[in-house]
Order: sequence, then structure tokens, then C-alpha cells
Amino acid sequence: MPASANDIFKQIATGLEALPQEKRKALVSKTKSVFVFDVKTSSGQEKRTLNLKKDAGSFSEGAAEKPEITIAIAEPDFVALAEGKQNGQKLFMGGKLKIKGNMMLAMKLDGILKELKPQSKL
Amino acid sequence: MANVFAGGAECSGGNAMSGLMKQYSRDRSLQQDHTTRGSQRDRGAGSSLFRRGRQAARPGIEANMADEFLRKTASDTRSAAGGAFEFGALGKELDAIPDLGGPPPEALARHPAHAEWAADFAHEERQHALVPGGASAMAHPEWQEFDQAFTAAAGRTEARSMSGWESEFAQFDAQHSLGQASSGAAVDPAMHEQFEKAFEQAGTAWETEFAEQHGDAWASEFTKEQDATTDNMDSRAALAATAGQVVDIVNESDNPKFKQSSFLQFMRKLRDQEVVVEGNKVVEQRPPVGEAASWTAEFAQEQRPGGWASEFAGESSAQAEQRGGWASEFSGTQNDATQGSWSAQFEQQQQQQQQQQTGGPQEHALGDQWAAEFAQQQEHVDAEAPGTLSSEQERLREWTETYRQNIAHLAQEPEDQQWQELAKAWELQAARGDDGLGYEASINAEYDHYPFQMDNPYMRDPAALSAARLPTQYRSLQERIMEHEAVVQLDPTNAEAWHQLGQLQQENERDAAAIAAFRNALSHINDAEAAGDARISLAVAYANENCRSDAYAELERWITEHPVYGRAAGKAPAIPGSDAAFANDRHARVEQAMLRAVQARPDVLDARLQTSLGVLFNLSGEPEKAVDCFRAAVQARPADHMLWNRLGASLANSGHFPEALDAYRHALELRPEYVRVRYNVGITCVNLGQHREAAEHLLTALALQLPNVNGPMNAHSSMPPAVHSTATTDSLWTALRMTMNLLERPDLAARCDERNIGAFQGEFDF
Repeated sequence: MPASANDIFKQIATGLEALPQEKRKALVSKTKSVFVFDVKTSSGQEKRTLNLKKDAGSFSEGAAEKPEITIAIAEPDFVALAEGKQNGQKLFMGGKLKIKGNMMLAMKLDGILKELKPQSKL
Repeated sequence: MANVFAGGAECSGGNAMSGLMKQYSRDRSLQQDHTTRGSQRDRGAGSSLFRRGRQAARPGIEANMADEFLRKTASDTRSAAGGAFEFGALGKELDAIPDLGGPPPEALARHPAHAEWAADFAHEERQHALVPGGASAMAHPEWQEFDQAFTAAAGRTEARSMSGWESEFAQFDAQHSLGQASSGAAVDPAMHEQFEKAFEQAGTAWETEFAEQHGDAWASEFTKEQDATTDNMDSRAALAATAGQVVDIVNESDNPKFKQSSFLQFMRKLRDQEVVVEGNKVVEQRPPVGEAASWTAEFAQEQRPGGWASEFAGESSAQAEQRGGWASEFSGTQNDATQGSWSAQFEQQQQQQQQQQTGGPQEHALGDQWAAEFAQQQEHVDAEAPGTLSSEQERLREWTETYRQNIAHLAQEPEDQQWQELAKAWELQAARGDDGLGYEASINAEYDHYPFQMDNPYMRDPAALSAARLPTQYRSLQERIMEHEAVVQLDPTNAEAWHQLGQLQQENERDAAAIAAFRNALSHINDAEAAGDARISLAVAYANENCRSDAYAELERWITEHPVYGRAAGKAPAIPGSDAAFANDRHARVEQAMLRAVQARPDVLDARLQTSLGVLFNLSGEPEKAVDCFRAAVQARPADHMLWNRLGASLANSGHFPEALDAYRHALELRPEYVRVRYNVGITCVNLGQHREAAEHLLTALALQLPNVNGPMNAHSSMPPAVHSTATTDSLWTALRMTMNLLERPDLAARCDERNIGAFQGEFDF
């Protein structure tokens, strides 16, 4: 069964929670931004806020008021992005990933997801 | 080196890429997710068409363009992939084409797409046949004449029709040579010559082929392209220029100018169109249309952004005015042209064109015989069959409408300038291999000093080291680590022991310790080959630790200092440092050097080289390609447990979880105590939603990191529990904690902080 957006959200949430404090802080200090994910699923819109602006960061339901960037994406693409089958750039170029706000932050998306989701090691 | 980019039959011989390419062809049948490769191969085949023309031209072979194109796509994956790679940067871009939901290779094979092509062409012919005044497509006078004209043109290939093409390309070549000379880039004359020769032949063959086969159908396709581009420039010249541009890339693939922006941008746009064509509804809207239509659409849409065209104009100053005018006019048209006005404009332009072409002598250097032939033909069409023309226009209008619909979504894209800015930034970032989140190895003191474990029994009793020991597979991982630590402590200059120790620590899921060990190995190695091995290992460790630029540095040193490959890499035209963006393009540089190395020894499947490529592609976020490399590597060294793990990790990082588990199983059969593989299996289980299994694998890994309670060395040892807890790795605990959260066991998640697996005993099997 393919993963759903909720599976990925859960992985992000638990991944952030499990990250050692110093790594979380390092991630925040590199990112310093609030990301909103607006994922279109078969049952509607799922919105989550990844706050990597200060302290140790947080991941929560719903959309923050003034995110630096909002990423709108369909569920299958979001799953593919999180699983490494796609990257943000390709999705963006293909019109499958829409960005509102600071577009340059979109470039950090892949890297952030990689940090939050443990990677297989060579 | 000369034949690397020279193209022609040398490439299609298929021996150039050897192992890597063999893998490409073989692996496809094993992969479940074929779509990316499918489309990638399509591109590869498409680009290699130019170079493979010689074969197509062999008399008596029933090879129309479509057939040729698709036959390669469907079956000759090796050369197709080879083609892609021979393009260097182009290949890289091509491979980066996203998963578009294109047909998998099997689908192509099952439903030979050339049948669709043929059907498409046949369909066109039928449409011509329906044209008032025509009895059948082939019997229809103008089409017959058309056909004749093309045949005639083909017959005069040497004498006449090629002259236009050739002069065009000659010009182009000359300009490029000049450009290169002035920018100080060295051109390999042999390569150049060979390329020219190959192109000449390919060009001839190509044209002949068109003429022989569906000259008319192709011509109508071509006419449509004219429409799409609303082109008041000489369209034949445009096509020639296009071909010239593409072929030129083959020649110029080492030219930084190309790689830097224009072509990459062009490819990006192409890729974007791809999404439109395949990912959107093109196929649905034009059901019988196969590759031909997408190619046509691509061609047409490529022109849209105008950047490429104007870029091109910049390159060939002789043609600049003409083209520049076209580009700007076209982009003007693009934004506000309604359906009707576009068609109207096209009509108008067609008239202008005819006036130009038939009214006066061709004054441009590109005015060529072939173009004149075509123009004459159009005259005939005008004079003899006005009804046909309007009907043609009707079709063109329809086609245009479809085209507009297909590109409509592009209008909703972010504003052009912003989009391009972002594309540029992304490109730069990709060139630097920098996602802004990598780490610098130099600032991590952990990597400088190897963390020896305290209370090593072998240090207390060094004689035990030389005592008869059980073979490797019967000794525990931790025991072997202790042994090697003792060896290097007794002789810190023992590079081999350092290297092995590093590898053991990688096996043990401790990359920081591995990095320190490999660095020590490198500082005591004199032998070039051993140093190379250590560099590859170090690059792997850096990659795992997300020290991307350090990993790139090691890979680059490995390839440039390699006793054999280094020379191959060195023969490449020097990369001028003047261009900062390209100088930063470490990935392209290293990739090219490695691919050249693959080509330098086509009959050798070098597991080291494949491993380095695999690491490289993991670094660049192209794990799909890494999978192919590691498959090649395990084929060469099937008993190498580390290679099986790397294959598995690449599969997992590209989302192929079940296949990843297969590879991991191989690794575990070879090394049951392989901690890293247990960790990786755990991660893969998380991705498969099997959280409980994940926890068990992670706990097993943690248990394996603890000193072996029953091992022989334990007789000497009385390790305090504190050592036990520091022996385990943070990454394992982080993953375990995440898994406990996924299992909704916050109580156990909290206990991960204790670093004590005892807390999990009884809850999980491990």
C-alpha cells in the first residue's frame, strides 16, 4: 500500500521529535523560516506547518498565519518527494509544486525532508 | 578521447560504455518503476538519432525515422543510455527528467510505439487523401511532387541540398571554434574532425531517410511547426539550426558556455514541456499520436520561451538580426495572441515568406537549395490547389488550438522572470552540490580523532593479536573492531589496518569514527591504489554524514589521481576557470571524469569506479542512477557485503523499498552482524509502514553494537556499563525513538534517552 500524505506527515513529526536537540537547533538556525504544506488529497486539503524559525522548531496541524513559504502540492507528488522519488525542483519545473512566498526557500525543501526522515546509509 | 564525443557508428557500437551501460539495459527489466527511465531513454534515443543516422541510411533497410527512433527506444537501451551519457551535461539533464508517467519500456515493447507512429503518419496521409481534389494521398499531385522534390533533393544530397545544411553547420562550427579560441578553451582537433565527418554522414543519412520515407508526412509535421512558431524566419534554416544546435552540443559538451546556462535552461524548458506533454493531457487529446506528436509539440513549445532562440541568435552573430527579430516577434505574439489572430498572423507570415522566397534571390548565407525546393513546392500548392491550402489551414488551426490548450497551464505558472531566476538559482545550487543543508567536515572535531574504546583486551595482551584466530566470519564485528584498534594503536602508521578499521566502523554504523580512521589511513598511504580505495571509503562516509562538499572533494581526488583514469580524465579539454558558475560545477566535472573513465576501459567492469559513480549519484540526489552503478558493482564483486548494502540504500533512497530489502538480505547473508544493514532495514520498514518490524531491526542493531558478551575476548574484559551505552550510535537511537512515536509509545520513546536497550526487552523481539 503506498504511503499517504498523513504517513509522511507523521514521519516528519516523529522525525523532528526524535532528532537530538542540537541537530534540531542546527536545522532551525540554517532554515529560520516557517513552511506551510498545503497537500491536496482525495478528501480535501491537508495543511501542516513546519516551523523552523526559532528554538527547536515544531510541526503542527493547520496553516500558520504568515509563513515564509507555502507549498501547494498533490498528495502523490508529496509522497514521491518525501520518499526521494522526486525532487522539489523537478516538481516545481513541472508545475506540480506551487509556491507562494519566498521561492528560494523551496530549494531547501529536499534537504529538510531528508534531515527529518532518516536516510538509508551507504 | 576523440571518439567519445565524435558520435557516429563508434557510439552505436555500444562498446563505449561497457559496464554501466550494460547495467542500464539489464536493470530496466528488473525495475518496477520504469517510467523515469522510459522517458529518459526516449530522450537519449532521440538525441542519438543524429549520430546514428549512418546506419539508418543503409540502403534496403526499411527504416523510417519513426521506426529507427523507436526501435532504439524499445530495444537498444544500451546505446540509448550511452547516447545520453556521451552528451555529458546533456545526459545529466536528460536523466534528471522527472517521472512523468510515460510508458514503461515493457509497454513500448508490447505495443510497439512505432506502430503508433506509423499509424499517425498513415492517419496524416489519409487526411491528405480526404483533401478536396485529391484521389489519394500519394496520388495527390502536390504531395507527389513534394515527394519527388524530396527524393530529388536527396539525390542531390552531395551536390546541392546538403550545401545549405553544411554551410549552416560550417558557419556554426567556425563560430564556435572562434569562440573557443577566444575564450582560451582547447579544442581537440581530432575530435573536431571526427565529429564533422560523423555529422556529415549522419546529416546526409538523415535527410535521405526523410526523403525516402515519409517525406510528405514529415513535411506536414514540419509545416505545423512553422505554424506553432509563427516563424517569419526561414523555417528550413530554423530546422537546420535546431539540428545544428543539437549536434553542436555533441561537439561542445565540454564547452562551459553550453553547460552553464543556455542549454541547461533549454533542457529545463524541454523538460517542462515534457510534463505538459506526457503528464498532462496531450496524449488524451490526440489519441493516436505517439512519439511523433510529442516530438513535434516539444519542438514547437521549445520555441516558446524565446530564451533559447535568442541565445542562439547571440551565438551566431551572422544570423543575429534575423533570429533576434523572430524571437522577439514570437514572444510578442505569445502573450496575447488569441486563437484567431495567431492563425491569421501565421497566414500572413506564410504569405510574406513566400514572397521572400519566391520573389527574390535568397540573399542569406543560409538560403539553401533545399529550402528553395520546399518553397517551390509551396508555390505549387498555392497555384494549383488553393482548396487544399485552406483545408490545410483548417487543420493547422485545429492543431494550433490543441497546442494552445496544451500550453495553457503554463500561463498559470509563476511569473516568467521569477521562474527563471529560481531556475538559475537552482542550477547554481545543483552545480555547487549544495542544498544549503550540508555540513562541513572541517568544522567537526569528531572526525579528527579516532575514538578508541577503553579497556581493549588486545591492548592488554597484544600477543592475542597474533594468536591463531577464527576466520573473519566467525568473529564478531565488535571483536574485529577491537583487534584493529589494537593494531593501529600499536602501529599508528599501519594504513591498511586503519582502512579496515574504518570499514568496520562503517559496518558498525559509526561514520564519524570511520572518517577519522580513513583520514589516518590516507596520511600513511604511499600506494596510489590503496589511497584511492581509502578515498572512496571516505567519500562514502562523508556522504552518509551529509558532508557533501567533502565527499565531492574525495571523489574528485580519487578520479584525478587514479593511475589509469586520471590520464583519461586529463585528456579532456581543459575546463576554463574564467566561468565562475561552471568552475563551481563540481558534480558535472567529477561525473564527466568518471564517465570518461568508464569509456576508457570499455571491457572492464570496475567495481571501484561503479562504486564512486554510485556515491556521486547519491550525493547529487539521483539515487536511481546510483542503483545502476551499484548493481554493476555487485555484479563484479558479488561477495562484497558493503556493495550489497549500498545497492540497497540507493534503492531505498529512490523509494524502491521491497527491492531494497532484497539487496539488504544479500548483505546480511554475507555478514549477519552488519549493523548498518539492520539500521537500513529498520528505516525501510518505517517507510513501508511496518513500524514494529522496524523497531525490532533497530534494537537488533543496537544489541550488535554492544560488546559481545559471549565473545572470546570477553574473558579478558570486564567492561563497565558506561562503555556499553557509548558504544551505541545516536542515529540508531534517533530512528528508534521515531519508531516508538510512530507506534504511539511515547513512554518507550522517552526511554530512548537512557540509551539502554534493556528497557525494550520483553516488548520486542531482538
